[in-house]
Amino acid sequence: MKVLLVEDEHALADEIVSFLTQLQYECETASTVKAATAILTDRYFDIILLDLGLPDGDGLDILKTIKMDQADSIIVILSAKGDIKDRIEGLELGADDYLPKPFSLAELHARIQAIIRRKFATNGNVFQIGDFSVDMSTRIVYFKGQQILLYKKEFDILSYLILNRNRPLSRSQLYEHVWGDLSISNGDSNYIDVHIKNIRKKLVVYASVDWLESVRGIGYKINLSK
Amino acid sequence: MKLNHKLNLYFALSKLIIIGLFILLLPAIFNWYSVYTIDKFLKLQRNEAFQNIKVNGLDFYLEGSDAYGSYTMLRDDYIAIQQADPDSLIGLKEIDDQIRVIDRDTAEYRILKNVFTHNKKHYILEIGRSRETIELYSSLFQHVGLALLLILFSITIILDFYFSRQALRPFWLIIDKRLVKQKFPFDLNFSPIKTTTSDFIFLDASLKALMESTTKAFNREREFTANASHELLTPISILRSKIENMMIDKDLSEIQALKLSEMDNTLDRLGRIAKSLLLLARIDSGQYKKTDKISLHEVLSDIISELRPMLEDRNINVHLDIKEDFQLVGLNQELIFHLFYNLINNAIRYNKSGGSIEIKDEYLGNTYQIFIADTGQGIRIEDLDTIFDRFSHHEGSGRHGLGMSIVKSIADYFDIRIKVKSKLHKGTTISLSLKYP
Repeated sequence: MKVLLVEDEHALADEIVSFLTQLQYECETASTVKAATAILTDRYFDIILLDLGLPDGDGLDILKTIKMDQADSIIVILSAKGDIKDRIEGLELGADDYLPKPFSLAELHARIQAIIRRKFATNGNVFQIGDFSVDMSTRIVYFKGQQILLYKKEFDILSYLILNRNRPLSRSQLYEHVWGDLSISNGDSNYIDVHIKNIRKKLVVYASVDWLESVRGIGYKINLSK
Repeated sequence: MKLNHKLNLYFALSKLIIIGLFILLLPAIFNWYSVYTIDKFLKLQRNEAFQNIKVNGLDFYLEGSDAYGSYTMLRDDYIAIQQADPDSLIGLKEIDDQIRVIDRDTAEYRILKNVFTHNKKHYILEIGRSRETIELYSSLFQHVGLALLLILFSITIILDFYFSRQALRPFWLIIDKRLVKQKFPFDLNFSPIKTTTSDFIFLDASLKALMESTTKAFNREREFTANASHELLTPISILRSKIENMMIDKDLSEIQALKLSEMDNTLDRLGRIAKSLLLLARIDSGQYKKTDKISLHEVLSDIISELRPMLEDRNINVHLDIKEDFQLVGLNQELIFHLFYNLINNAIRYNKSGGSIEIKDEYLGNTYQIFIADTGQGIRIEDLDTIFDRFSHHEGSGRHGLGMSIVKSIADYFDIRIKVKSKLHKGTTISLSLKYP
């Protein structure tokens, strides 16, 4: 998938590009409204990540151009502004999501995947771990066709770990993903432990869940390399 | 004492003093004035008498005798001419008061005496006027005057009362509208109070200016907080993504990974502080709409079901006893959710294992109250006052001390009064009350 990252902070842009490239995205960057508009006139991108506060103007102006020329692109606004007005305006102008800084790269990845699932309603979003299958679209976990009931938050955590499989996710990353804005004032990452404990309890009835590993001092990861 | 009562009392006292003085002085003044007019009258009478004597001749009156006298019927005044011994005229006063016996009646007269010569004989002309009438008038005058003054006094007191009330009305209006009814943040869209009193115009304008400068200072502080937190977000974002990318590195040793994770947690905390400050600034600047209809029962049920795993994990019971078919209006779903989520989350976090949480509501007059009671560790009395302060450090390690400030800000935003009661080691009860309807 082709990604255009419009971000004027080069240090941040480099990290995002490095992260997405690992996940097999093809990335290009632009750091000004002018540069972004120039690139967008003759090239198509599947995903456009858009910072709003750019040195030569407002990212929302680019959004208007994109919506005219590349209506199918996935657009995620990355902003430090986080004002409700900006958020609403961005979404009204056709952005698919709004990710306030400082976001986690894993979260960015999850958001993009969620939009892809939503927009293209792709089938084959079922993920296999041993005899467990996790349907990302219907948000149901099966064991050999038998449905396992998970709480919403438990599924959120499980799917987030699957999406970022083979990489450890910290409790705060998980907490932020699951609780969103509420994580601002309640950083109780012990809740993640409780949920993981419950997920394990619910799944271990059927088969071993060795693949759901605790990473000491960090958090959790789903390890499929074994 | 109220200003207009004070003014009226002062008016009344000053009037009483002036009236008292006047009444004390009245007899003396009246006496002096009546003597003055009588003397004038007597002198006029004398001139008239001489005129008549000149026309008719003295003998016309004396009729051969050596004295003449005439009284009015009621003996108010009299006239007398008689021959006088020159020796007795020494030291004679022109006008004085003397007692005269006329027809066996003794009366005090004011008498004018005038000596003249006729046919080489000395005569004395006496014109007298009874003082009795003068005194009669004097006392009559004093009584009438006193009554009249008292009536006038009462009228002016009533007038003063109404006038001062009328004149002070703008003052009370200013106090009421600018001080009593105003609540921070001030509503500055007001027109000046109508008054012709320049002092009140000045007072009103000064209060407005004061409120404006307070609001300005407050806004500046709020903007600074928002800008500063906002400026922190991008650098934090950069560091976070760098750490995140490093963590992916497969060559990382376990110690390095642990250190990175610690750094990430610290950054996470920093990010949450900045975001919390931004959230506070956003609430304070009124960015959230107050247009949602909310079923509190639904909100609380949602929160409880979200937190169900934590409740089960710590074996905490929740009793939710909230009216179901009941909606609150003019609120914001997101903020109200945040508010109750924080409170219930705290009730779990600070509870003991196997404890309980009770959530109930109640109507009191036109206030709707919600109580959230836990059986947790409680809050020390000395911490109760500062529990809503920013960065107060009662929230325990790893927390940034802004959670309850956010709760308070949200509550204030919707005019919800929030109270905390707590007993150490017994539990805490938070009560929220809002006007309904």
